[in-house]
Amino acid sequence: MRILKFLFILLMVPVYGQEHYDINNIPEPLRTNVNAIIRDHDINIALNDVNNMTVSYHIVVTVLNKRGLEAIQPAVGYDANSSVQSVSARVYDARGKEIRKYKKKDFSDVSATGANLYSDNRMMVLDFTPSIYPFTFEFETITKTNSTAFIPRWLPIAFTSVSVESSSYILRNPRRIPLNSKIYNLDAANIEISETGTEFRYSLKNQLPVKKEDYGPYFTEIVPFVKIAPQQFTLAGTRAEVRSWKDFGYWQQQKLLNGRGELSESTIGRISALVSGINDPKEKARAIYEFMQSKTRYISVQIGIGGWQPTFASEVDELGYGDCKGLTNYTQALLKSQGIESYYTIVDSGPGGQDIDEDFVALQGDHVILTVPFEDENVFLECTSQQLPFNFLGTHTDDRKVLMVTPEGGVMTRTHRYSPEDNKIELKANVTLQESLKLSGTLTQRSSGIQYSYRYDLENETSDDVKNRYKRYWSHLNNLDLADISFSNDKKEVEFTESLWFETEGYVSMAGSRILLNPNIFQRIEDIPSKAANRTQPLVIRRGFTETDSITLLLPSNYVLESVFEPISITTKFGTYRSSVNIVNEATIEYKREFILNTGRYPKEDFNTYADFIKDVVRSDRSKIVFVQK
Amino acid sequence: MKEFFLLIALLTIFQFSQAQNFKYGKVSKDELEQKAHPDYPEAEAAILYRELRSKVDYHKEDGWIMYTEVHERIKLYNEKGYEWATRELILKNSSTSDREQLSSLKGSTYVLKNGKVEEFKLKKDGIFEESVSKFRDITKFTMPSISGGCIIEYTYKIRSPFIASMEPYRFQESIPVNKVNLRFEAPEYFNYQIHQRGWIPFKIVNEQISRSTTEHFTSQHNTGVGGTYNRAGATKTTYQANISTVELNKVPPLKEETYAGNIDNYAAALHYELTFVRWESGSVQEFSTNWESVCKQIYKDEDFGNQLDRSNYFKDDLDDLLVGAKDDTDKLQRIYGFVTNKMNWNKYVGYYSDEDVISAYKQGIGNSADINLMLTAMFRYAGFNANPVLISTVSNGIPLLPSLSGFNYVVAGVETPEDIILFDGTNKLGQEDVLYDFLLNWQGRIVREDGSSEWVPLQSHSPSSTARMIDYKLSDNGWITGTVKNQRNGSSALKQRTQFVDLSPIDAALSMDNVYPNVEIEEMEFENLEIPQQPLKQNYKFKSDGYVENINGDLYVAPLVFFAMEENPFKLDERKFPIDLNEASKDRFIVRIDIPEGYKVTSLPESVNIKLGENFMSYKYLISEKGGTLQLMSEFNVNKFLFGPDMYKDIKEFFQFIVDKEKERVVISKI
Repeated sequence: MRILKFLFILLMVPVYGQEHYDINNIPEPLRTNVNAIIRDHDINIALNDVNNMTVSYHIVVTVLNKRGLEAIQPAVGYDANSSVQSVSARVYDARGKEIRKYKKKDFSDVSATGANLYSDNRMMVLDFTPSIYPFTFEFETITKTNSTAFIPRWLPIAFTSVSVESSSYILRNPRRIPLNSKIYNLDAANIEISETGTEFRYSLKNQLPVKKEDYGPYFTEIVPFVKIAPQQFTLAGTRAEVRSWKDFGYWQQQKLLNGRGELSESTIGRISALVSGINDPKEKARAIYEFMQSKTRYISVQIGIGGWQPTFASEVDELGYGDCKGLTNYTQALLKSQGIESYYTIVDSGPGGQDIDEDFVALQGDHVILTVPFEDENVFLECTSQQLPFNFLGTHTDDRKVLMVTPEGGVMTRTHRYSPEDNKIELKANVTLQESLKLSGTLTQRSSGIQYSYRYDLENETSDDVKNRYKRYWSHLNNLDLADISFSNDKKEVEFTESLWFETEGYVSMAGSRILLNPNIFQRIEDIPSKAANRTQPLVIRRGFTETDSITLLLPSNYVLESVFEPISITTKFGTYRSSVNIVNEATIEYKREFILNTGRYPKEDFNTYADFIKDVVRSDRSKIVFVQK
Repeated sequence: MKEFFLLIALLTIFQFSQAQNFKYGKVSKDELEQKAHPDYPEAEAAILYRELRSKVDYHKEDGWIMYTEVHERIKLYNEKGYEWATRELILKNSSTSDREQLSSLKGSTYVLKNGKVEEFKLKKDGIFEESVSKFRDITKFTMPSISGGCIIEYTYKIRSPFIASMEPYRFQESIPVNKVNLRFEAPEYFNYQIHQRGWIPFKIVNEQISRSTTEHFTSQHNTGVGGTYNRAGATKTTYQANISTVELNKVPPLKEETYAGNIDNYAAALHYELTFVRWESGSVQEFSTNWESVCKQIYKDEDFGNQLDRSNYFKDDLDDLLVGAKDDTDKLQRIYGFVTNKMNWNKYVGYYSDEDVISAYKQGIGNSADINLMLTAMFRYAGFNANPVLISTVSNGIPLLPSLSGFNYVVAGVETPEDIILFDGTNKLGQEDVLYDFLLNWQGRIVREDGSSEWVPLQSHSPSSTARMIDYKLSDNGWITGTVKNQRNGSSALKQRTQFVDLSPIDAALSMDNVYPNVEIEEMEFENLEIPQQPLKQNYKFKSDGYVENINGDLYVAPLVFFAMEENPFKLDERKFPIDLNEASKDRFIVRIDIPEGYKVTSLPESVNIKLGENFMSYKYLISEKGGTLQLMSEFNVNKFLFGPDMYKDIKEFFQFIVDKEKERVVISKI
């Protein structure tokens, strides 16, 4: 049986395949310093109607080595509103001869739940192991969907170290459904564009690879891509017509949110009792937010339209859990019960900090938070956290454009930005170097701003875990012993204070009868940029910060101080650094350090200067004092 | 290896009992009022009660079926414990129609409100069924109305046709388990072997009771492990059922520790494995009784032994390959090179061939069994005494008693009169006698054609070694510039090959930036990067201004500069689990330092030569100065790699000694 099948496959090999994908046909420059070459990439979309779209996808990739494997992604997703019409793959050897063919039945049908507890998304995926390098992989799918809210975007350069021979995108729009389209980073590549009432076409040829550069902008800020969204669309069975953000917000409000905020009388009564006696509306909002935090937890379930629509507030109230939409909608309902207005707010989450693109009206973002407008400021509430302080956003949603859904429609606003002065970490320590050369002492460390978000969860760890976290945090302190650890979490001021006693062995280094000691006991910069010969991308420092250290050090009586270093001061446009040792008396010194890194975006030419600055700081951080035995 | 069993079987006894009502639904106010766990006040949650009841019973259409009932009551002390409010049940499917089924899932959350117990039932909207793949389904559920201090309770039944090998019954978790009960019942025909795991001892109580069935059965049934058995019986049968019960109280939480391997090796658990079935008719069907019979059974399987008997498919290729081979070593190398070159591992582990070796050979793709059974067959064809060696990977854990699931990988072993040399054909950068780290777990079992089998060590015969020659010039402005020449053998070479093999020279140098961030590395070159039979050589130039301190005109330098061991890997104050360093190793530095003109050495660290225990580890640091040149020879040898927790303090101190020593400075002053 196996032999017959094998013969059959041999007979099926198309004749043109013999040379069409021969790797020798790839222009030389596209083959140099790459892991893979996208030979041919076609996306063909037929927007047949507001509730009918067919997407044909065809890609041919030549993979030169193992690292190029990421460029082939033989998987196609579907859900209750879409179906996979066909999916297949072929493999060719270096000469372009077909060596393997995969049909639909060779693909496994698996769930695509991801990080959710449950989602009805599924995918067909091929479990593929290459038998030889280089090889060429061809992958084709056709999917049909009745949800037209998301038209696939064209992202011809999706990987670093992968070149593109040819990529094209055609969207046919026979019914002339009005479309919004936007081309990003047009100048980054040579793109051919043709846009008419019934057809949008984009293509690109012979694109050299893009390299990933550290401390650079987001990938989508440097590569060309096109986004298209219809002004009339269907989303999991719900129709929409949106021309502006105003329309869009109105649609969200009417179709997805309306009628979902009802609460039981008893819950309203409970909330009224909770806020009775509080006059300041902001304080009321704080009490309600904290109540919501104590009552709920985050559980993500995405089914059908539920992927975009919150569950009923009453349901969240009953079950005590929900996803971001459900919890935000619930909090909004709780606030509303006390006459406090708030807006369901759409955001693109993640530490990369992407804006909702104001110029491109479409469903965007992947998360929702709640905005509560007050006269002096907008208060932002992250409703999926049981821990975060009122009106505090971590790196997940800070400093970016977001869309508020108001009764009058969508309105753009910007979330809180935390400055280097806000993101402060202040350390004070009293340290004794014992005659045994163990170092021990007490310290307090106070963190605010984004620094707060990195530290506050220490409070919830068991004491063993807390100790282990310090051992990793100060991994350069060997045989670290800790005691009297206590925390104070001031949620109102958003300040987290740690205080503890510590002892470490082997901190100083010996040099004959002398001892070298680095008075900068705690700060170690781990992230040191390497200089780049040909930097092509700007330097981006997303979140600056301020570190201040102040350490009093008592020396053992059998040693005498021999030398300290001169005060160090470095000032650049990227930030400033200062450190100094002050001799208080013959047995006591004081070490002070301040490092401020500015938030900023700088031209590529500045990158090596920045690397030098950090290297200077690292070197200065290692300055030592010397003392000798009496 | 005996000592390993001793190490795992550390003794601690916990026997307590409490008068509490563990009937489903009888959650008490006392339990709800408890603010923290009495013995582990920091625990975020605790399993107050876990009951596991399994019974092998006859079903008239489906044959013998395992019915398992689970009942759990969990206290959630605080938000960190909320993750226990969401549970995931994995249901296995086989390629045939056999599948596990979940039923009777119900649950409730209990909270205390104004002194009264309130109950919130788990409803349909909290239960999610997901078909993950052909081989498994998952049912997830999440409990409603969770708040700090609440108790959740749930129960469910699982019906499973897989009666030969089940998941272990687990008695220990990362949170305390206050009480756990297991009851396991099977008819006398089924002989289960029991694997007891973990460092908490527990007693298994056995009894027998009489049961009867009134079915008429003459049919073939699936055993659940591939293969069938015939059952012919009368209309009414009375049989004895064997019942074993376990009760444990106050099981402490399990904590992670570094260099301990797979933590699940230490969780208290019980594993049942069907060893044989003896029908009333007297016919016996064997599964596994001891390692010998486990291996026999594996060998007998057509996806294992048969795969070794075939040679026609590679005969011609191999004949060509071996033309002009000088000697046996040459033959072995040619065959091993041929297989690693031709075959591509699809990353699936297993000791059974997936499709079969012939189609794997044709496609050039296979799982670990396809490739290594093929390799063994080729060695045999070329006249070697070659046999497959079964292995349990690190993630599969260490089986303490014989079972089919005790192994999950196979490599090829070539037996010489003196020795057994292992080959893993899945590893394109591999060499004889050196296995990937994830295979260095416990020991392997070689299975011979005649059905005999025996344990073999998996570690390489010679230690993994790294030798570095470092030659640098120290300038009075604080810069060091020089060259490094490394030579690696064994697994040290394998690791570096894996890291660098597909990198361009520029990227290779850049990747070193992450390891030594304040050192500029240039002109990196490798020799034998893709020739695993030869030592791997790596040379590069470096410069840095980050390692010399100029204090009052004196220069201070730790001679090993960026190669010094800066951090003690052992950070915990104490530990419970054995320390597993994986393998023996040898790490050597020869450093030559030119000091600047007009300077002289005014202080040198002391040379040392120390050993841990009976030469379990040794460390040498020999330094000298002659005519403006400093010479350092340092060597760190790990001769024994598995230690009991009683050695932890000594090992930690030994490493700390090295850290301290390598930090010591040479002082260089102006003449």
